[in-house]
Amino acid sequence: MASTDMTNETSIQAPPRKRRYAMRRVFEYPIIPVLLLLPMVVCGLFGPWIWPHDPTAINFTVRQTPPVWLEGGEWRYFLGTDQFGRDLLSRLIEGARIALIVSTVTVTTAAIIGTAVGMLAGYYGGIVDTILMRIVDVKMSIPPVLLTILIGAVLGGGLTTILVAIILVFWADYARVIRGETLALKSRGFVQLARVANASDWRIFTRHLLPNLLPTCIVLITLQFGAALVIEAAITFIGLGIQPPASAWGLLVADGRAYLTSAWWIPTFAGMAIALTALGANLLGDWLRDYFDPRLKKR
Amino acid sequence: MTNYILKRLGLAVITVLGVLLLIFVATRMSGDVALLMLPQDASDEQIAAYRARHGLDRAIPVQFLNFMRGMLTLDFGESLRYQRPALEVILQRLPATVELALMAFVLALVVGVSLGLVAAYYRGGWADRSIRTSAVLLQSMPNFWIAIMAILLFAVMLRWLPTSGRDGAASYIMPAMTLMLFPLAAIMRMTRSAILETIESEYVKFLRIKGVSEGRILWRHALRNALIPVIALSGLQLGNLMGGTVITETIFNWPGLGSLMIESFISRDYPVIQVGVLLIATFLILLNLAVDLLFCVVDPRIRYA
Repeated sequence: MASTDMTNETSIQAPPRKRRYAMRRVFEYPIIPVLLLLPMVVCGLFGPWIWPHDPTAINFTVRQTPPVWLEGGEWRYFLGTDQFGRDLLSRLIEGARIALIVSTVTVTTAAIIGTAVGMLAGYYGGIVDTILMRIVDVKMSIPPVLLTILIGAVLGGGLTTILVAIILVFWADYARVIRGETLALKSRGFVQLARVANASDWRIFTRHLLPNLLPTCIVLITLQFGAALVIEAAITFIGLGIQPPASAWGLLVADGRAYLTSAWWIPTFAGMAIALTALGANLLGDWLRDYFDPRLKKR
Repeated sequence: MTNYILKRLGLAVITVLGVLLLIFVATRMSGDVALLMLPQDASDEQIAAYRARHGLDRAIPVQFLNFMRGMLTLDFGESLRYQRPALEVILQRLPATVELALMAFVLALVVGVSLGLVAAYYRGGWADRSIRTSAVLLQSMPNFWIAIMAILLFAVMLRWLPTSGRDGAASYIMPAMTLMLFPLAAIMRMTRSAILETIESEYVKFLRIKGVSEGRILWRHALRNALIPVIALSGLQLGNLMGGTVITETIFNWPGLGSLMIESFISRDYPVIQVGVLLIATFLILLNLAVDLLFCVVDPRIRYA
């Protein structure tokens, strides 16, 4: 009797469970984040083969053409054109390359420097730790934008300024997190045993510490990838970054500011490109964090 | 306690010295300081005179000591653009920024704490989920873009608010709201987790057993205990906010410190940039120190190590 009841209950519960499972498939793999990130990666890598027009080609006869779905829009210029008649879609595709280069280069370099500093500080402790962490303190006390202005004043703005500034801003995050993790790992049995077995410091770093630090690094890299996009756009926006006639998303927003009344689509779509791509990176970072360490899952 | 304060004070001094060193290195990295510090049309004699006067022909360590002496005696040199002491130029633009920053900070506290509170109270519910989703969205959307979209909507299309400038109460609304966005998400997240932590603590369980109402637990007990660290930690978000002033003031043509920094960058007014960075960094370091000490005072459980 009791067993029939239980089977009944299971069969009643079965349908919603199945539906829940189908929903969960979507969240099991980071499909949405990847879909958000993909356009930027593809456009960044294959831009010149994709863009419908030359992004720098000026054509005054079609200046400030609105997007295709508005009155006066043309299929040739899907997202409209700017004050010089340049195709907005093509300029967005060109901007993806800067975004891709900046995010990838800065985040990887910062990760390498920061992880090395964090491991050294955490593992050796003492005076090494004190000096390195003081440097981190100094960095933390200067807001990123001001640090960028300081660097920009010396380097004169442009791509180099962006790269140096973002690397200087980001490395300290790795240093702090990795130092903490290294401190915890240092006292673990396998590291202690490796030391007893007379393993070299280099071997302990590369074979014992690094593999255990890698998940944290990957999560930070992904989260900072999104932050790098936003900071790059902000630096370019305030005029310290990419200079015209090159195209960058932040530049499109900044330029579009002057034409808000006549060509609102320029800053609108450029900002959406930044926001959606950064959202993809942030969501992927959250997903990876849950994947590597389910304990950290948000309550 | 005294020992702890002294130690923290020492660390703060070392950090300020580090900032000075960074500014020094950044200046020297550019090559010729005389060219950087003088107007672009300076004659050769002027350049030579500047070098001699500032000891730029001396050894690097001597130069560093001279530089430090100048900074510590508040002698920062003259603004190239205004031909006045750089510090004076900065101080003149400071009030507009302080005003805006305070307004934005209070706004961020009120909005952030309330949203965090709602999210924590209805954790797992739709309110919590939508608040957390908007936090992720906020993190992904560039704040300057949100500001421009706001200008498009409220100033260009609806014509409710002025597009830029600092003239009348209405002109404060959009800049303050924009600047508020910089620390908002962090304050929201901090409040939520702090409240959750207190709600799950032993003494709240005990209050429940005692039969105290949920509302009373939240307002009288959980909020009080959670709020102190939240407000203290929010102080650290002022760094974020100070960085945000540069962007916000540029967008809205706000005559403050942030827009001054950008103008100085464009006109290569290096002395002003130096003072600006030093001033803000020192302020943030002192703030950090104050927050740490405040923690000790309000929460005696923290040990002075």
